[in-house]
Amino acid sequence: MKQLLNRRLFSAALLAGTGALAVQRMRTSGLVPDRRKPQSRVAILHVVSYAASLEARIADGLRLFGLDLRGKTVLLKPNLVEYIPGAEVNTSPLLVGAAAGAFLAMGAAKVVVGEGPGHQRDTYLVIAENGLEEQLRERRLEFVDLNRDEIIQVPLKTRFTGMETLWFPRTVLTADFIVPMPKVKTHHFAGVTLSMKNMFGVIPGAAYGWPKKRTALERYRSQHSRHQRGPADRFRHRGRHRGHGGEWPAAWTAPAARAGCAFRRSGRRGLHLHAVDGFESLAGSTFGASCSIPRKRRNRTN
Amino acid sequence: MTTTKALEALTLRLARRRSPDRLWAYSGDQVAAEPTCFALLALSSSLDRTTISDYVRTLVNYQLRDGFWPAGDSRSTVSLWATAVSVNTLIELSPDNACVRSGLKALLDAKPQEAFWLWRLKFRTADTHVRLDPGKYGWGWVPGTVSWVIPTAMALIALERSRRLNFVPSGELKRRVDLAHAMLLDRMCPGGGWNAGNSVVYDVPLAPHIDATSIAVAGLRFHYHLPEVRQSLSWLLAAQCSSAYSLAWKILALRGYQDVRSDVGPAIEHARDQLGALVEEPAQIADNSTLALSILALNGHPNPFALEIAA
Repeated sequence: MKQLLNRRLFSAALLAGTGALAVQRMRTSGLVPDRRKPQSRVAILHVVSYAASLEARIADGLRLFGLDLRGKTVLLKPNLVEYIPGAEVNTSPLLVGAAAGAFLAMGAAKVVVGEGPGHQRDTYLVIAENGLEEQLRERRLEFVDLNRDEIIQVPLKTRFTGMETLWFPRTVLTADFIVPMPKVKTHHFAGVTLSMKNMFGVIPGAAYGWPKKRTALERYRSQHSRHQRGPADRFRHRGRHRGHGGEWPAAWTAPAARAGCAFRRSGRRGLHLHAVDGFESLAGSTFGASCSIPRKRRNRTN
Repeated sequence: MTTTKALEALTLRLARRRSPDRLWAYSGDQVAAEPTCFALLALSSSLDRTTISDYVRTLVNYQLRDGFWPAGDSRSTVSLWATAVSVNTLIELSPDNACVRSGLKALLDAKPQEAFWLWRLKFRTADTHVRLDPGKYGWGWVPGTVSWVIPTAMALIALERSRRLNFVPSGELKRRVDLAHAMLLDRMCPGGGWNAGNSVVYDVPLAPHIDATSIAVAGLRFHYHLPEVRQSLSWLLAAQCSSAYSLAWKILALRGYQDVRSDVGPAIEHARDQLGALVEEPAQIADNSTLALSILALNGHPNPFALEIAA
């Protein structure tokens, strides 16, 4: 019978494993310099409720960054999963409405709200039951279902996803200023979900399905789990994906984040500002994980 | 009750929303298979045979050489959902078309990842957070992925309708249909109904979706004797809905069960009244698929998703 593992192979494997562990150890201990760019500017704004003063508070926060939004089209990308009574899984519609008001007050020509829920095909049902539809009507805001928007094929700059191109909604590609508005949630695998996972919602369901599995896992051809989980997710590598500034390891939310990273790598307009809804968060997700959640609202920029 | 005049107005609106390519987009001008098929089904009763043939020819032109339909134009991603919807539309409008057979063959040949033993082994040993039997499978949204409820249910409807018309009399068709039935029953949520793909994840039961449940219930019409189907039908009857899209699917699904339960008829009438009010809001029917489904749900014409094909 042929020997599967000889002494030489065993030694080589042992050496490689030890080397990998040593490099990882040196990285975490600071011996290997981190070449990533300095962290993004972050503003943490304290509020006591989703109240009427929210719009002014957000405007105060935006002014800290000296943004010039005059004449620009702003796309707000909230995180809408589905409506589950009593569970804070969606970005608050009051926050979305207030952000829209703040951006318009800062001179934006137009504010569009766009989202493409991952599992629920009935987008209107989600926005109606979540209360966002009421905000859209009151503030006369346009909503675009990113799952069914017109799509444009975009070549990717890298091949980490194993795909040469991705289809993106026209609304996303033509917006001057994109603002992901994730809901801070614990995640059964990632620990916490933030902006990059939220950007998974820009992948059009009409092209990739509900959920959008092909884009998430193409590299590993594994689309095996219903919750965007692939082999790479087992490694919380604090990698080179700097799509959202670098404070949070982007790959935490892989592979859903890969779609967001792919968007970044497509070389199209970047994600300019992230307004994170962490006021009322879901600690202990419906999928059983738990971690401490900051009960604050964070605004941050790239 | 929606008046004939209101239905005519909706039909006219849908006809006017045709793109310059003579087919339909979700919104805007970019043609897609799903809204085109639903629009053709909704408008078929108001069009003459020549016009329908023209539309069918255009739809058939979008079919790829391997028998699949793309989600959008020919450059777009191959979609099993679009293929199932297109095949079912052609069965309704032009059953003798050769593209029906090639589309059916493509559906039968498309196997999800669970069809391979290594994947089944993985689900049974290493990846056990999702409660499912990987030996029971259907169709994914796109080729090379795992099974999901909605594309499986629509493929099931297309295949069941084709079986009754004796288009593809093969053992493989029966095997895939039986597997799809088993997969849907396996993935049913506790208490009835279907979510997107799973029933229990990380020991947490998932809530059913109205549209997924409706399409699945429509596809399982011949299995009404099973307690799972009865339970799901009961869930669907009780489900409240504020969206035209889901409500239209609910009505279309319930129409197939009028003859087996006395409370289905009144529920349909109630849902129709609700839908008649909802379609008056422009935001509800901004998407052409929703508009077309609403017309199909509100008119009294034969149901193109019913397994009992009208003579």
